[in-house]
Amino acid sequence: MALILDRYPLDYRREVVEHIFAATAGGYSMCLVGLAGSGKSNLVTFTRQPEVVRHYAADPAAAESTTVCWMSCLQAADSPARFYAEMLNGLEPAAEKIGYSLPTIGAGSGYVEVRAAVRHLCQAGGQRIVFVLDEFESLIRQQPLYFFEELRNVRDEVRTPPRFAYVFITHRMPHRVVGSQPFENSSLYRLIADNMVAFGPYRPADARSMLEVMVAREKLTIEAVERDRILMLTGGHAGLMFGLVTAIKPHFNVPARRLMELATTAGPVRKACEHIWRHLHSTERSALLDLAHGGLPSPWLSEFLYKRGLIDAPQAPEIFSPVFKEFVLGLGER
Amino acid sequence: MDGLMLLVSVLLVGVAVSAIFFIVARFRTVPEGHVAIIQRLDKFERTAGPGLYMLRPMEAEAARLYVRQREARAAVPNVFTEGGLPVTVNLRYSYSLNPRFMNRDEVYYSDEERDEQLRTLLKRVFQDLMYQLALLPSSPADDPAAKSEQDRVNIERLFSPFAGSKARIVQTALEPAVREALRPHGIIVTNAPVLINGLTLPPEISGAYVDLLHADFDSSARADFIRRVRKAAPTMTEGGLVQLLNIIQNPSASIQSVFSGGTLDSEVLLQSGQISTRHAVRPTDPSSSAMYEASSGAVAGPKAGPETDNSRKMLPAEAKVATIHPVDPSPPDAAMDPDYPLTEEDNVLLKTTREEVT
Repeated sequence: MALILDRYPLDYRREVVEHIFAATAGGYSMCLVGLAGSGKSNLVTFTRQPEVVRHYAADPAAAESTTVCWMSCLQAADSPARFYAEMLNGLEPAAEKIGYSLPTIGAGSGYVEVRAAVRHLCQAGGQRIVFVLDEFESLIRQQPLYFFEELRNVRDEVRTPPRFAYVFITHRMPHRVVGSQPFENSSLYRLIADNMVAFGPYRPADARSMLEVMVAREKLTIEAVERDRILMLTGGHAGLMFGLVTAIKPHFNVPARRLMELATTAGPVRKACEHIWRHLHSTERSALLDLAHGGLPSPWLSEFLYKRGLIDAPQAPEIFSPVFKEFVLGLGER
Repeated sequence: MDGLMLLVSVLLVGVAVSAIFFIVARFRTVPEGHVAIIQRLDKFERTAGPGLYMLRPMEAEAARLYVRQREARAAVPNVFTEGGLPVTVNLRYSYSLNPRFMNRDEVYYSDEERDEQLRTLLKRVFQDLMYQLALLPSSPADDPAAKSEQDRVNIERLFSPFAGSKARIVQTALEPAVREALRPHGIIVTNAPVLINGLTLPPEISGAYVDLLHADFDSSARADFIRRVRKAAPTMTEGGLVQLLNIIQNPSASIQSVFSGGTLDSEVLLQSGQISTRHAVRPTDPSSSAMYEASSGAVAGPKAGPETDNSRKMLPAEAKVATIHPVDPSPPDAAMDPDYPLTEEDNVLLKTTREEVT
């Protein structure tokens, strides 16, 4: 879903955006861990906008020199050469700011060229780069430890003063993803180990405005009561809202029972549920199954699920979305 | 004079009779299937085969060696699969002893010492074989980079090279390798094939699996399972651990039977990675230790290696299977990547921006 900045206020997802800029301004890297379809990539697009950078940066000078770069690791995770080529492309906005021509990758993997580019941009060019690596899990699954050491080196070479920070975006806790070698043994993991932040659910106001954007983009009309019902049924999850709107448009006056059935019949709602489910921790899947059938997770797991936005309250856990709960119940019956 | 002649005659007759008795007494017989070990002045001198033989002056028979062909089973412990899982390989073969090829000390080995020697020799055979097989290119089915759903629950990859495409190579290469390794020590493998009867899993892993099953695969039980597996098999690769985790999460009764019983028989290994209920393995029980003793011979042959843990809990066939949650249920056509279980530490590590918790 494309994010049109002029439809979102500057305090959109404020609690997360503040955290990103505060951490990276100090040169700290971080990892955003969020459910699939919860709007992480949209948020990154939002943070890359110059107005947003200016709004959240510490001062105008910092705003001027800060560039949020981005790349998706999904298509480039199997090959360091492809990855570094994409990373160089991702540095383009920072290079354009100072009129720097990025090096061309020669015979090697591109690691040398990326290091040279970052050094030039940060040291000679005085840039502060926040490099967002989206779908970072795909790298963890496929790359060996030495590759992560290389990424760590890219950052370490410009750490005095700190001018480069990573923001990894994952669906799951990165050190729990099984890869060819344990990611937590890498020094790159140590960069983010103390800064893994749950990309939680929308605040009610953000969920409401997100739904309004969707409806406006499709030129649809939705009554307030129907909008509230969609928000309640989907728990404000962007992917579920999109699936539900797509499934029932243009008429939103659909009985609640019928809306719930959409979670277990083929269609965009079930697809959205599957997308969430597929990217959960196996521990979370087990816990949600238990919860849907009346069980209770342990206190620490309840708190974890709450942070992730999978339940409403740790003390009285209930799955965040009745539609998603219906989907989970449907799994248990197979 | 006559008396003196008589005395001399009696003496001569006595000496002659004694000499005859002495010579006759030097003859020995060795029964069929045995070899006599002869020492002179307490030092090894020679051996004598079945039939009649004569002890030379100052020789004595020290022992007899049973050399008849016999069927034997051996359990070779701590053989590592490609996934890093240490298994006990159960072999069946047929052999006889030939002291002509033994060195002096080996001739005097007791049964226990020969058992130990056999285990060491067979272990070395498997180590060499595993090393050579690791150099072989993997087939597509064994490709660790393969991402198909079938590949995720592929028992072959965990137990390769004893299962999968390399299993036939192992079986073919095993016999000449065993023959060549044992012959210099006077252990002659006969023309009967050397067979892998199956694998026995480490009892710690089977025990951990049974506990996990009884705990319905809950998250803390899974964390404990992984800890116990890592402790029992510290050299297990991450890929092997992933395969094990993927396989045991399959709620099929056959997989439960294999991992709770702890043994895979040869038919299962030679199938294409699918475990069918027809080949569900009998859980081991206290009487099963007799399976691996020599099946013939008055003098016992090589005994079984490390015994299976007969005190391990067995899964009642009628319990649990129907009630286990599909702990990793996938919607059709969904491909989920494996992950390590969450622990309480993850909750501590994960920061939140939700006001209620902060």
